[in-house]
Amino acid sequence: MKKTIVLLFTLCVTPGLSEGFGLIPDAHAFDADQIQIHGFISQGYLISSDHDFWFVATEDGTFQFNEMGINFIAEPLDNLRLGIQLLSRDMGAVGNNKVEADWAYGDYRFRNWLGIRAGLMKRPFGLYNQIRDIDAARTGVFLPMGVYPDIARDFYLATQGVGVYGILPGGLSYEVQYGTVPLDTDDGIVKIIENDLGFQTKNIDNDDVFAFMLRWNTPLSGLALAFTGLSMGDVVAETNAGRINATKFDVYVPSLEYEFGDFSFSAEYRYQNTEMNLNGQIMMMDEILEAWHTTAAYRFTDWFELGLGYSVVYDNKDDKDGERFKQRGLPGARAWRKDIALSTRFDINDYWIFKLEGHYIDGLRNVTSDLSGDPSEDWFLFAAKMTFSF
Amino acid sequence: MKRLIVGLLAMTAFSYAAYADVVIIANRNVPENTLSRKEIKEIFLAKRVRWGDHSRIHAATVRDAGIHKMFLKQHLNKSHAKWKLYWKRMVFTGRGVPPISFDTEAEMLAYIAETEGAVGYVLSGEIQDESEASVKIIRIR
Repeated sequence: MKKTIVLLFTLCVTPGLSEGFGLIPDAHAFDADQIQIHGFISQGYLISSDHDFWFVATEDGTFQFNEMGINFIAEPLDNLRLGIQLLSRDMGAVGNNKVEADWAYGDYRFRNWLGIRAGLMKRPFGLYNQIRDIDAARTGVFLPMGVYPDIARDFYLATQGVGVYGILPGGLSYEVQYGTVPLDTDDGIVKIIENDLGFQTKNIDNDDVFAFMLRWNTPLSGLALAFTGLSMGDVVAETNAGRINATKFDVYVPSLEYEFGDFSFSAEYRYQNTEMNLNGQIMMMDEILEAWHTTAAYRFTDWFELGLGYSVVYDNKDDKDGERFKQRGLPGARAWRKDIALSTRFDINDYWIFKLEGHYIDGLRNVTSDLSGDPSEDWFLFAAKMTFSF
Repeated sequence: MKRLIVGLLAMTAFSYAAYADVVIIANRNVPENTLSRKEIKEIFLAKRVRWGDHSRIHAATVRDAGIHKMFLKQHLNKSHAKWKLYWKRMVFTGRGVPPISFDTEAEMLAYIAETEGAVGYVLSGEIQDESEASVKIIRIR
């Protein structure tokens, strides 16, 4: 954290770069000798009426909700672009402002229909996974929670490997990636497993991942259809209880997006098939997760945008009432989460953004505080966030 | 009365600017003479980066809010806010950098005239005689 602050402070006070921080009204990102530098800092506040959520102490209210990043992009050759983004983030027990490479890859584009990327790349998953950490690039504080669970961010975020992409005739574009997933025992997905099963994870590793995106910008201006998917090889977690092996992890997301002037609408459906065993003998999970959302936003003025979304997720589409939780004496509502979100975005200027967002939530999926007794299934989550980007 | 006339003239000028067509211009060596609306959109959103002969496309824009907003509306069907949002998404995922941007149309015209593969835009009345201009007009097909 200290290093991050020092780094960003240094950039802030460096002559030329100070323009980028909005100190000078007519500022723009630093651009010297074809190296571009862009960055962002977000600080948020979360509070809920009941429960802690995603390992964040929301019930008491918390400022442990931030991200900051800086990137460097250069085009040393006509066909070649190189870039790296360093990211530090905190969300309750996850992240803790450790500075990591968010993406770092070379991009060689020698035809419209074919470009090659190699390195650590943001993964196409749904319409918005690649902009997951970029608060300035969306209306709401959170992406639709059912389809884009922030707590499992590290699992979906990036591929370390190679990829190809390009545009095709008829408004089609594609992206394919193959590689591995950088995983760590501090990741949120590990904390979910530990929280749900009571295990302690010593190590986590995974086999290869294959991800793809096919997008069609239809002849109707502004309407696009997309289909993204990923298939992961074995994910192995060594725990104090034994070896947890996810032998199957396939996710598919069909998406629809419509943009017309200042209006935008999107709808997505997430289908996730997971099989997991313990020590190769005990089947721990054989489930199909189902989630979807519809989100609309309208920008009323240069400085004000309003968004409204409805997002639903079921742990297991064959047990939507949570019977398996009830059998263990737990609330059945752990099986689902239905979320109505109202978002406001205020663009103070080209660099500063302020957001307020309210969620009315039905269900307890990914609630991480004690659920003994008779926990309320209906609760509110409130988020405020200020972002600077250049 | 004088104020009224000045006001009416100003309104006329404003109306002209508000409804004037924005035309696409390019360096004279660019192989294409026509582009579809979809191709124009792809070029300025950095999805299409090569001309038909595989040479590099260099898109350029003007910071002037008036003509830039008209260009976005007429050719990209995007508001200025959506345009900025799009480029935030691109730069913070490493997938591209915005087109080079100039303070004035004159600066952009000079850049397009001098730079192989460059493409930009001007108000339709800016180029009276294309045969004598330093750039060429790209027709929309």
